[in-house]
Amino acid sequence: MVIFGLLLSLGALPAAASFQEPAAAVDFVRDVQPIFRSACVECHDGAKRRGGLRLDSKRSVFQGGKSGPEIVAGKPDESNLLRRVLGQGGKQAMPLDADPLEPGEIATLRAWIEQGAGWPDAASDDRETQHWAYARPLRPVLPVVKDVAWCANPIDRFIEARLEREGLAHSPEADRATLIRRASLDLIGLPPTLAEIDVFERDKSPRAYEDLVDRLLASPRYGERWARPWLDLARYADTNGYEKDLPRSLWPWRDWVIRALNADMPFDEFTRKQLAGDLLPDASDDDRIATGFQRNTMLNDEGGIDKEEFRVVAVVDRVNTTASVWLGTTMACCQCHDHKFDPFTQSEYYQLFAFFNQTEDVGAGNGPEMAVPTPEQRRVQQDLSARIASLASALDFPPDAAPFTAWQQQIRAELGAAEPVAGLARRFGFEELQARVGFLDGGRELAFERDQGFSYGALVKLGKGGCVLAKIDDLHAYRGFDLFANNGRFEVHIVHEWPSDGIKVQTREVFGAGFWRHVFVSYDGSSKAAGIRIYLDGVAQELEVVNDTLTGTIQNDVALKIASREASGAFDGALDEARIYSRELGHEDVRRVFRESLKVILERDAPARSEEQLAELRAAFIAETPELAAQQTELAKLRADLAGLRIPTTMVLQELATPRPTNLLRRGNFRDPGAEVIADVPAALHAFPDSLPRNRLGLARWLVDSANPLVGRVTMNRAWETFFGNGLVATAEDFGTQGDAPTHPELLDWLAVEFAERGWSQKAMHKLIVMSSTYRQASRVTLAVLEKDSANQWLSRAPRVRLEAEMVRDNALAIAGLLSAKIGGPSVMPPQPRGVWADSFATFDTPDEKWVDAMGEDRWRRGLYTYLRRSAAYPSALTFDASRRDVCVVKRSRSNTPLQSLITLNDPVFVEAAIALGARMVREVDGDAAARIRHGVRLCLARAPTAWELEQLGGLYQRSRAGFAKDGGAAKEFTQQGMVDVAGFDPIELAAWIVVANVLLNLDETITKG
Amino acid sequence: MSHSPDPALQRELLRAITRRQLFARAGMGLGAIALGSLLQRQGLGGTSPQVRSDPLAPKPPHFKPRAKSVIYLNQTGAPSQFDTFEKKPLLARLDGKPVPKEYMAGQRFAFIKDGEQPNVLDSLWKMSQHGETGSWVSELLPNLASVVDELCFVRGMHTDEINHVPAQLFLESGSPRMGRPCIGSWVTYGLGSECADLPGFVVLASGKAGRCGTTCWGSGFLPSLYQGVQFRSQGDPVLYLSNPRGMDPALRRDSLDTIRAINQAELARTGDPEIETRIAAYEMAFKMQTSVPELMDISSESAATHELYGTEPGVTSFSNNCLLARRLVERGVRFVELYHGGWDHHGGGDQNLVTGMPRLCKEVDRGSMALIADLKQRGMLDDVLVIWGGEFGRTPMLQGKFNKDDLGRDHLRTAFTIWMAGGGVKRGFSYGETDDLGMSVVKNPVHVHDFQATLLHLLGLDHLRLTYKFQGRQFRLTDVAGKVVHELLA
Repeated sequence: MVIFGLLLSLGALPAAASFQEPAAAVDFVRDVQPIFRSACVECHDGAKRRGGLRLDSKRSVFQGGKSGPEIVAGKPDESNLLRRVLGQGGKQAMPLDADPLEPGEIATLRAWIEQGAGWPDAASDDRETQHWAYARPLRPVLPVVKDVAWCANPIDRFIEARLEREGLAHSPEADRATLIRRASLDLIGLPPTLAEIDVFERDKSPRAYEDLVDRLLASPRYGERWARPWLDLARYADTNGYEKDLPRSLWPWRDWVIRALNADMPFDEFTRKQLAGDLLPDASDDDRIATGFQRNTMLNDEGGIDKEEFRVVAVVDRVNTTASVWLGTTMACCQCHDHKFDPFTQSEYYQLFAFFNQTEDVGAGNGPEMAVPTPEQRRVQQDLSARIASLASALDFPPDAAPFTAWQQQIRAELGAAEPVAGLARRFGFEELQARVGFLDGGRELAFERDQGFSYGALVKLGKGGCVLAKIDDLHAYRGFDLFANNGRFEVHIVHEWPSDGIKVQTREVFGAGFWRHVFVSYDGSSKAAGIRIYLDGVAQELEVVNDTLTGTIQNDVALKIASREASGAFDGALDEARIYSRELGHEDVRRVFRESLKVILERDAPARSEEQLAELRAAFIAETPELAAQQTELAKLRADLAGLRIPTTMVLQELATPRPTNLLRRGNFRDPGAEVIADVPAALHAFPDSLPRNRLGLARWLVDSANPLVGRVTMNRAWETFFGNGLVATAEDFGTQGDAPTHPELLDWLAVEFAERGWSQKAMHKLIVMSSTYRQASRVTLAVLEKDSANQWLSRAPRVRLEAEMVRDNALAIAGLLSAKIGGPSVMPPQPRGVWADSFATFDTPDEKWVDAMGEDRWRRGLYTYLRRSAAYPSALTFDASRRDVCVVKRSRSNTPLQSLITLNDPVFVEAAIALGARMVREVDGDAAARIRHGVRLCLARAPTAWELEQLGGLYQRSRAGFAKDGGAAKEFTQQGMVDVAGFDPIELAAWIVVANVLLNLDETITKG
Repeated sequence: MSHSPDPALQRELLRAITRRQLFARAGMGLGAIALGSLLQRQGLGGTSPQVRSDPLAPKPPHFKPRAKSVIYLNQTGAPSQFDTFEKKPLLARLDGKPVPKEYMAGQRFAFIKDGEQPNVLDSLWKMSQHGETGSWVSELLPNLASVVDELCFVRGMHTDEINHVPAQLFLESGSPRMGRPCIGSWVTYGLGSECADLPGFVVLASGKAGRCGTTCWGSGFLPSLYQGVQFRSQGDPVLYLSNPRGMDPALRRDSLDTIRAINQAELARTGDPEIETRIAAYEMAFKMQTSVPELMDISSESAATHELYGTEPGVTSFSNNCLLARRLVERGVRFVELYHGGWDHHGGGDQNLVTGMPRLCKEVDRGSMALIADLKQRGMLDDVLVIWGGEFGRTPMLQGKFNKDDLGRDHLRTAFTIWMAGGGVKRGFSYGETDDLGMSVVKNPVHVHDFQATLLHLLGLDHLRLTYKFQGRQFRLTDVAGKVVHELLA
């Protein structure tokens, strides 16, 4: 079906619309059936039949249930149905246990009965037999047709038989230009090159078309093109969704899909790996990457959430997505109650839920993740890991090693003898050490001024870093002071107003994460960077001065905070013994503070020390023992090198060691568990074999079992939809009783059976489809045919459909010669208007997570690689009906709107494509204007222009050229926007060709597959 | 298109096809060139001036509407009812004392933990009564207080959700999860658009919009042409509206004429009626290039109007957006949604109630008042429904420790206050009551689904009949609930 876009009137609006008063003619489907559906069929449907009555079946209503006929046409007062909803006859009013019908609804029912109770047969569900989709498909006999010669393969027999029955004739085969463009767009998502068109048009062999198809199926572009619909099903995105919408790394899974499709991995294997690759015997890294399919669910990192709530939401999404993708079934209803229309119960929903309820991921945070190194990274990683292991073992002395215990005794003795370092203003001892603290509020009492000396610091074990200690107002010009760990460097800010009035120094050296250091800052009250020292383990560090302009007050009214600034900079890692002194400490003071910081630990008996406390002591001992310290430094360097490899990660499923019990959730509420359930599949579907384990792997095997009546039909239907614009079942997402019946049920069954018998090869089936005569028809339609079959459900012609979002862009870039051939890798950021990401609530903290328009090759990658942030998705794709990827999308809507026209006319991406295409027309053709136009038209449409088109475009070129000749400045400006190199071109000539190119890229035929 | 369209959509479709068949019949005998020039003489795109048969053409409502359009002043982050419109004497009496346990039973908060008993926090600002109705308004909203007799307060609002994104989605789409259409999309789907050269559903944001980004005005499973179109005050007012640099409007017109001529020839050649839609889309795009900048340019408004709203051309502000909203509904735009974020006053930094509440109130006070006054003086208030409110309420007790300079309130699911005005609701009316502490509704509760049902009702739509079939089920804005609150209707 098509949807008609935003057409607009040019004149007055129609007179005020008429109102639908209940007294007016009642239409059953429009007015009555919605009332039955919302108020009655929950109990009175084919499955439940309370009182022996179905209100979804005309036959049942007129025959009646236990109480006799429900309706006497024309006589509302004699109709039982009306009496029951009015609560007459001494019985409780229907519907029971629900709100009574509104007066308007009752008036509608009365009027309907009065008017004769018309009920079209088509709106009645009188079926009593098993729903077709739950019966196993059998290979149908090929129908007899008159025009056998036309039929290239069995597909055509089914199509032709129906056409003959409908009195429709198939269309002639499309011309070669149309065929190569259509097949290329369908199979690889890109237009053919001129050389490819030439070869195909000249190839007179009977195998020419098949050779073309085989070449396209073998192209690495095939996997990219067919990954797109799969990514919609999987709801693939580059961020977590919800409020914070933080970045995630799941592109290695996306690349796995592309590789699997290119390798034509059988669909059953494709299924098993994505649903349960981690549970396969001897699971490889690739198998675990594949489980990213179900990690595409959203994560809520908003403050104040209950993680369990959003874990449950994610598991629910996995159940619903699995049912949509492999069963064409909408299970979501059963989350709260038994399915109203299809044979699934709420208990069965939670039995399916139980399969997916066994993984370690929670509702917030990206783990579990696995590292996905490149081969080179893997080599370096192994080398570094070996060296790290050997150094680490040297430093891994036993806790009772003599030098270690002797050192402890010595420190203890020293601490006992000496007075504590003077000037301690505040101490946060974390009496019990709190690893990974949130933050600690230290109050507002301490208010140092810039002319005072003061010192501060803590024992620090870095994770990712962040703010160690601060009294800084980061919402108001950063007034105050802090100690911050940023990418392994320690930074000190003492600020009046950042950056015009403040000091910033940072350590030159980069420090590794994962072990304890004592970090301390001293400041002498000079208002100068030179007055700041940073000590690590009592040793003054070499500092870099970044800013040195402090003149104003540093006092503020925010609280002192440990492990966070006032509003940002949350610390990742562990802290202990944070201290603040109200004077400048000297070198020796800081050394003593370091030792004092160990006092609490040293005073404990060794066995009573926690693991972290022992780690703190060890770290201090190593720091004070020169030969060990040198090894430690080397170790830290190697670890930093290892961390610096920036090995990509990908999110995976990880099964829990101990199974999690699953309960039915009443009304879907995670806080209201009902009876416990065990993992199982719905009774209405094929049985779960005893031989299979009751885990995700068992479920995956069950889904692709040859006994599954749905999986083959559903998968083939989606493929059919991709080629023909509509599925054989138009409701591709719903094969249940509420879905549409197939237009060609036998063909659908034949495809499903053939798919399984051909070893679940998608490429084999795609080839069958595109080799059919049905697919190769011309798309031209006559009025007579349009009247008979406007939606083209009988396929007497090839469909004309607008290209999908990513393809609109890829097509333009390919025509322009700009499109990058690079496959895979992290998602990219092509130009997008400024401010689009400002629509997201949260801003990303680090610069490499901001949208920065790519300047190199990544500017012109295929659309499936565009970074997808869920709360502010790439706007031009959304306008062309791309999915936001919040939930599984089986079928995109297809609209044509003015906002789309603005994109292909004005979006810098399409303007660059026009510039590059204009330049191609000038550069690649040495001849007159007509030859250049011919070149451009063939690039866009694969065909030659008509004489009339040549005239139109030639006229536009002449007028544009004349216009730009009068305004050379405009020509320059027009040609030099964007990143396309136009050096050496005459700006006026080029500008005129860009205008022509912009028109060519906007033709209906260019953005339509015909 | 998506899924099975509803019968109404199908009728639209058939009407369009019939018209297009006539059109194609006229064209085919004449040949492509003749057709092209004929259509050029006929006018833009060849669509006849009286007929619109696209899904956005105006559609009859289910019954007589009370409002033609809606301006929703969405205060995201959730303003405190106790510091705006709710006077609760018990708050003053219990100020600084632990909240009585009985009020905490069965409650669930985002940050206050189960078992905690935080201290009650009275409003920090003076509340006084205004207008003939004597409605309580905080001293932070002096302008709004002057139009209080126009307002219809709903004091018994309650929701199901305690976190921002789920609660905002719930309010916008009737479901706390992603994937459903928002109110503006439902309304545009149900009624179409009265406006020929602007979208039917427009979004304006001052500061941060909703917490779920553009999903807040997404069309969910409805076709994407029903999604909200954001008009921006920085850069292109509608994305990609401006021609490329160096291309003047005359050259753009010339290009569009060429595109149209070739597309018409293509239509004649292939007979595909969809091409006509594309031709019309390009003409609409061209018209928007003029109509949208004209709309956004508020400098043509009178000095008195600028004085009323406190507007300043060229800046991004709530007041400017209020004025733009009036200009939009004036031109027939059906649903205008203004977002003003920043009300999430938990305490600390930007979220400090002590400093944040006066700032936010000042940002919205004048524009909110001016919109009501302006619509009224132009005689538009009867046709335009104005709504003002957040996604939930805030607690009558403080969150965290008491610090006179830095206070906050947690999210409250069980009671909050919004107001509506104009468009068929009662003037100077108050509906619903909460307990003495304002913690829960004790009389005339209005659930979010009831609010949505009522909103649709005011526009002449029956929330039970405004459905869209998706995944085998007829979906509604109000999910499986919702009752029209007839008491609110004028």
